[in-house]
Amino acid sequence: VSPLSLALQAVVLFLFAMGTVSFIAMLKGCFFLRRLARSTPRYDGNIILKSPLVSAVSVVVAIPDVSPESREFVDQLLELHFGKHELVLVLDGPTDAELAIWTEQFHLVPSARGGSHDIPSARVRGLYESRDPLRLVVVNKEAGGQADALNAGVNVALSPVIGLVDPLCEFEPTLLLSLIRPMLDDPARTVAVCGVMPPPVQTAAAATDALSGTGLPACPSPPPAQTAAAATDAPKSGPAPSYWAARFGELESLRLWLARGGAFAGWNLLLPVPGASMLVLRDAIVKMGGFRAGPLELFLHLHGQAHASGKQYRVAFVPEGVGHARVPRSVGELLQRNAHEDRDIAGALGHRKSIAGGIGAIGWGLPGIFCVRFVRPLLETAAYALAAAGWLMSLVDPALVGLVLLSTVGLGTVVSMAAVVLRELVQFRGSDPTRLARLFFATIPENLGYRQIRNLYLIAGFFQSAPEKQNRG
Amino acid sequence: MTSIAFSVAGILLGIYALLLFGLFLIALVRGFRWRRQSEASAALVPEIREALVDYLSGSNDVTRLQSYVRNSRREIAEAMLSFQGTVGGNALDRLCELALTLTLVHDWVQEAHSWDVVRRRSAYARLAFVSISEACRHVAGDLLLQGLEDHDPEVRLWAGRSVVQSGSPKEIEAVFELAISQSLLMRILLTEALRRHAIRLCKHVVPEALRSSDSKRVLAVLDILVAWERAISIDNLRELLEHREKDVRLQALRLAPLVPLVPETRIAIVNALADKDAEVSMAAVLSAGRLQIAEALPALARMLRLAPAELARTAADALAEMPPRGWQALEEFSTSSNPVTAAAAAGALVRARQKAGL
Repeated sequence: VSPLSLALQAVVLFLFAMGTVSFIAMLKGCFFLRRLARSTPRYDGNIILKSPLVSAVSVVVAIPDVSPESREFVDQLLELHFGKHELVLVLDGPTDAELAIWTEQFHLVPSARGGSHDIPSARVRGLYESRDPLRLVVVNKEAGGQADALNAGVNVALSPVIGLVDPLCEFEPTLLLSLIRPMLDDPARTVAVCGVMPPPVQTAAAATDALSGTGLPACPSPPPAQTAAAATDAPKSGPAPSYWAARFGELESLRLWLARGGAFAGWNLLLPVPGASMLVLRDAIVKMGGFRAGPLELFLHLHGQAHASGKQYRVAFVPEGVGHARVPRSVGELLQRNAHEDRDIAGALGHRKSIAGGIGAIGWGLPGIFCVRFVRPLLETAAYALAAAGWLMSLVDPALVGLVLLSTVGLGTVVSMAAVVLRELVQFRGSDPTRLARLFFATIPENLGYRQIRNLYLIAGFFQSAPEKQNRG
Repeated sequence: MTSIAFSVAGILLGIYALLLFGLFLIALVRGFRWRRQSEASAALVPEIREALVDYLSGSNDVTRLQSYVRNSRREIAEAMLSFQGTVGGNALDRLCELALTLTLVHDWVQEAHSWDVVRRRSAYARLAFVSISEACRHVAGDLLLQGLEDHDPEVRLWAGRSVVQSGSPKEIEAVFELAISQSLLMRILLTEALRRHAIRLCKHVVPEALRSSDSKRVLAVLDILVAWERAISIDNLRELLEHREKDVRLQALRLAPLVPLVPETRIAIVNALADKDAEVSMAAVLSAGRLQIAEALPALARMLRLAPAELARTAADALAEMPPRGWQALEEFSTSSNPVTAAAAAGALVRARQKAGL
């Protein structure tokens, strides 16, 4: 047996093990989400909206530019429905022209409000409030990066709960009403809440409907009520989403929702994923010394600190009625989203020494994520190359090449199919059969082409650790 | 060896894929059934609603509705529930009577015993809607009271709401007990329903609960009182304002403006201005301002001069609530050399004058 064969066999074993673990995690997530759906009471959100017993929330968002997308995102945040809330918009080192644009858009005037100095951050040049009846505070600060901007926002925020929303997510105005529920249900133990859901049916249908003229199959027309909902959910600007990008994006979101959402919440190891919105106690952020890399690093720190103190705590998961990762308009956008997430994970890993518990802050969770996001793609890509080369040079048994394909394409397809089916088990109502069939069969091209390109992007994402100004709230 | 491994792995993956495909087919069938059902409901519910509107507007002809009952009991229930919040008085009585005539209430009572929590929730929600009617309550019997002890929070919530609608004083006390013994979320959701019984509950039940040695229980009662936002009388407010638990002190201070002011309460609020906890002293400033407690003026002035920016601003706002002495103090401080004090005082004074139309 050649060393190449031995190496390939080891890689194949590892890939099978990773695939099995992913499948088990999704199964665990499915059971957890089912139990959660059954135990969570439904109620009229208006009562929460009016009650004086509900904590105030300051939504903190760091905006690096004045692009139309950024402004649209801020507009959406200003439309959130909640009893007592404010939006703290942090401009990280804006130019005079950029500040002028924000000032004009929201009719800003200097605020008499003072911020605390609970967390260190770059110098704040000024605070502004709107002349319009908007619950908005704008912080103009010297450039310091995303984490520094979030710290400045937390210093200015007055509410005991801080809200963070990923600008790459789409959400309904009732987002905060859904997110606050676990904090009201178990205020003593809940230090943070993270909410994300897979794209709702209407959004996926809108993405498919937008394809008329592309030659690709389109969904049958949804009923009028559904179309209206789709119109609000669909991306408001930019080109129409690509059919395959929408499908692959939905499959990725589903897997993340089940494994990184449901299963990790079941094990109390929950960390933010792309498209997530979060609530964190302000006191907890201050106690951690603020953000160092971003929300992911903060959540790791929260877990690590709570584990170290030995106190009973939970980071709660909200799997419905919250935001979801934006439906990608192209495969390129989807790949970039993956690379972004990798940079977040790499950023958190880079700060592991300052995190309580280090790389073991959430036990095997972080090494597991690292294996799935970096080691698996790396080994898989290497296995393809070695198997192809070995086969061509007759150094490797064709059956081993087949095993490589089974452990990557075969197992990947089965895992994605399982994600589609397990979601159906979580839901109490049936999905649209056409959409379900499309998604189920999209698992094949996903693993025969897209998966291999995605692996390259995931590897590149980890290596591109150069600091970059990110539009992440 | 590799060929065997390949075959085994291939077979195993094939079996998994087949299993998943089978589950997918089941999901597909469920999807088709769901779609067919939804389409049928969407077509039927408007017709049923139309028949119900006819009935509610005085027509005694229920033959059309009876024809729907045979095959579409779920849709009839849905259509009836869609009138929730839009009908009252005689129309609501007629609707409840109709639910009884069509034996829907009996169905819901049956379903309320189901082991399936989703069915049980839906049954309790429907029973809560019709429990306003004496006849429907009679059919439901003790079921609603039993629901208060159900292990599912949503069932408890619906049961609580229905008991509050028409229960006896003892039963309402049981719901109040439920509200103060459950999570904050449950308390918030039941507080609204209990609001109309506030005066009766404040006579005996609330004072008794406030005298409890369990601070969590006391805090829960205070939560409810704050949420009611109604003028009420409490004997031991001073004790609560000086409670060892910070959260109790905080809620008591928020409640203070709603309770008739007695000298000892005034003293307790003034003392709370010097509380070590910034949140408590902030709440005391707000209460002192709202109650216009003149004895608090020196302490408020001191806070305006020395406290951190946010507390200073709140103190300035409290002073602005107390003309003329509070305004005089603000005028003096608006020329202070301390920029935070001067800005807070000037701002509060301008806002107060604008509010007074000066």
